[in-house]
Amino acid sequence: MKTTDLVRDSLLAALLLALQVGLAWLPNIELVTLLLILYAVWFGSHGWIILYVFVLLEGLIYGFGLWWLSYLYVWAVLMAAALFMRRFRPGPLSWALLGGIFGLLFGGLCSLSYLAAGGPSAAFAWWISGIPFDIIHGISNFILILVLFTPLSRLFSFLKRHGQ
Amino acid sequence: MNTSRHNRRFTLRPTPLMGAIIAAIVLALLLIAYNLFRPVPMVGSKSIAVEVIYEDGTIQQYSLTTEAQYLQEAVEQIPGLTLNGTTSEEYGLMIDEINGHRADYQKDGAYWAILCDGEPCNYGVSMQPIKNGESYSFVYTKAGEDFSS
Repeated sequence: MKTTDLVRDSLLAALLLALQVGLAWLPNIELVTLLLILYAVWFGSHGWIILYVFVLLEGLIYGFGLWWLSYLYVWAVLMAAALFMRRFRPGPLSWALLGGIFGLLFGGLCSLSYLAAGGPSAAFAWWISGIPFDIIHGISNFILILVLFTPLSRLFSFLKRHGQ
Repeated sequence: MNTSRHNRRFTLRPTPLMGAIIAAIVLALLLIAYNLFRPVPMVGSKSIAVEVIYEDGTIQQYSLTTEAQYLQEAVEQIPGLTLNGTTSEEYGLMIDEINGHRADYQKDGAYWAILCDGEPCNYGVSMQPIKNGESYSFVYTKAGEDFSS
């Protein structure tokens, strides 16, 4: 890995973390989904490095609880889907739909880590009680990505051209 | 024979329409699941028993007749029983302290487990509906330990 890539990936992970922490007070309204999609679009498989640096930093800040185990695979689902979709060069609407679907499924995906801790009924109840927030998450992801994907994509394109 | 047709491979190409259909199906399933399985509180008077089991095994017991629908609301009506913690919109009250006894997960891996008739409750204290005749326990629990004491 080149030094420029290392520095860029570290800065992008730091940006992800700063935005997550800055918006943590808003329930299920976040920019992590949008940024991870943009990282997958513009930096391909480097998105994995950025993602797992972010996940590690989240654990160091909030503690390595059960929720952290779910972060190990939940964001990976999004990254894998974004890297798959990237090949087809979809427009902002498709990315917004991906983020929306991911937001809707977020609680269900996270609840899988509660299967081991509390059993199926606890995981199911945890998922059900969070559904209103998953719906907020899905809708907010859809709107944020639809509005911000194109301008941020232009910015990333500019940074990529001038960062070489 | 058109060989190109035979050589053509099926590729799943995501389209906005496909995405919109999937999103609508997922949203509909979530709404159905929530309406079928969400916690429904009981209306009317209920008699419940509440106990607190501290780190050293000491037990405090309380009983209450209440119109409250959720456990937190009911517990707040019991004189001499105080719950403290952090409240989030999504999960309600996360209990850190009961009657001044702290369970700090970050510090010593301990938390207050909530049991409904001896089994782990499905919801947090703010969202757990209460039922007439049911007993609720707040048990100081170390991570990895059994809930029972």
